[in-house]
Amino acid sequence: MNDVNFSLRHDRIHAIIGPNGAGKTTLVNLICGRETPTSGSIIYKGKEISQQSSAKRVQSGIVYTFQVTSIFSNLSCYENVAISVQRSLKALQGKLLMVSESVIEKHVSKSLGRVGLNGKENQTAGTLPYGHQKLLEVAMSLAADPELLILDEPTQGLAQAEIENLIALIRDISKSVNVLLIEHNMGVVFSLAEYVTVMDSGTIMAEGTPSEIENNRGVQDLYLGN
Amino acid sequence: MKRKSLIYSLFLKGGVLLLLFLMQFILPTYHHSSFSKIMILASYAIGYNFLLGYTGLMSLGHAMFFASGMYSSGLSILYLGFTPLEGMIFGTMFTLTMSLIFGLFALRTSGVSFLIVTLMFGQTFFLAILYYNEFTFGQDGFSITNYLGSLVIFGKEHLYSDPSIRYNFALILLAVYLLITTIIILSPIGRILIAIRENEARTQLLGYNVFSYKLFALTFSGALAGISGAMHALLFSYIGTTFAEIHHSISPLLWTLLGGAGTVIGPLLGTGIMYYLIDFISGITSNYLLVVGVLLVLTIIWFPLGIMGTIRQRWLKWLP
Repeated sequence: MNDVNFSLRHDRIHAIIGPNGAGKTTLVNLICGRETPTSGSIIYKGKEISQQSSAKRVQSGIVYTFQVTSIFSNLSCYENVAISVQRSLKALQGKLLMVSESVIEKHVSKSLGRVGLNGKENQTAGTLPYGHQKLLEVAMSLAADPELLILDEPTQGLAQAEIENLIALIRDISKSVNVLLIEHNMGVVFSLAEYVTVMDSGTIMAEGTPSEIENNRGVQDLYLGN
Repeated sequence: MKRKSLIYSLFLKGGVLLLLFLMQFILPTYHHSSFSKIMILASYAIGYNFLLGYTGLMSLGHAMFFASGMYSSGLSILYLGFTPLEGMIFGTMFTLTMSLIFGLFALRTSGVSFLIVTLMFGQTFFLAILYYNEFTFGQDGFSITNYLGSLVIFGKEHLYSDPSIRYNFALILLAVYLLITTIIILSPIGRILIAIRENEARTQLLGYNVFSYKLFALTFSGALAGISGAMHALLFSYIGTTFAEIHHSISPLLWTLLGGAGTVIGPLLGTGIMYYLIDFISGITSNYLLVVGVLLVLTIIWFPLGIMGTIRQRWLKWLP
């Protein structure tokens, strides 16, 4: 990363694109706290959060889904989402030990239902098809009560029908949550994103609406082709 | 599912504890004493399992906690004139404090590094006992029989070394450990510990301060080990360095893996099986460790998750 000034567009689906090694994942790792900047600052809701742990950032509303799906493979889908629900309920209620299992159950059902995984509660997460594992991870992220949801290449490895399903879901999520999307699939970016940042070699080379980016000569030469 | 799991689990454990209670009336003297030892060592293993099986942290220094409970309670009775109860409480608080301080340092590492750090600290503790031998009696160890006094129960006097006292105190300790660990594992805290074991990075990125939970697990596990050590000192009166040696850290690992890491009742089963296996085979050959090792390998091939772990996977999914 080199002298990057990035501003997340509020209330829009904001996408970051760029070739491999451009610094996209590094940028989101800095935002979600998986890496610490050597210089500069990260401001979220008016507060400096550069030295905050990743856990604290999740508690503040910044939730990240991994590029390679990261779920609790040996646990049931119910438990996967319950782990996330429990923390966000605790934040509301302030009493970890007193969080009622029936309340957790209700929230888990709601989260699984939202991504279309109702009925899969007792299935072991690792036995789900890959596309469903991605959806499970989204359910876990939604259960964490995000204000900013960072999706790192969410369509990677998915079949076309699954991609379309996920696009519809992300569009639905974006009505209540800010979405930051990192993607290589240009079809997904141009159908979803309302604002695009293009990165290359650790710097931001262009920003704008999808049509502005599509018509940007430099971006075409670097990444999109004619 | 959790409530069902708790109810079935309490029935199972209640049944096992009832069986153990009734067995004291029919066991021959030798086995009566063996069962007392097994129950205390199983309690130690339950504490160990809390860290390994439920949080995914493998320690090779747990003998340090067992021995610290044993030595702190024994030495306080010997030198400070504490009563057995005061000695137990002192031993518990000492080990709790030691586990907490140790955890604050050791949990800055993970994986193999954590294993090595626990091994180092365990060995340091063992060597410290030997070094300060004018105080700890070094390799000879010491007995506190003459300092324990007697227990009065329902108007009748008993020595701590009475077989029935040993057996029932060990049983009570085991029962309390089984109950407490079951409740914690089935609680929201247990869910987080299991999440950490399964995928620590994910758990952190769901908003949990993973370090705090690991510190809780290590401190609690160390305290359980320490209380087991203190109880062992009271009931068997002998305090010695053999309980601080590395093999006493490896033993609960083997008992837990054999019985089923990540199951509450597995360590009890594993401890019992290993105890009698060694007892039986050492009567036949001096190379008993080789034979035990081969049998362990064969058992793990058939039961890769340990005995209770494999049973849970295949049949009893509700087993905590």
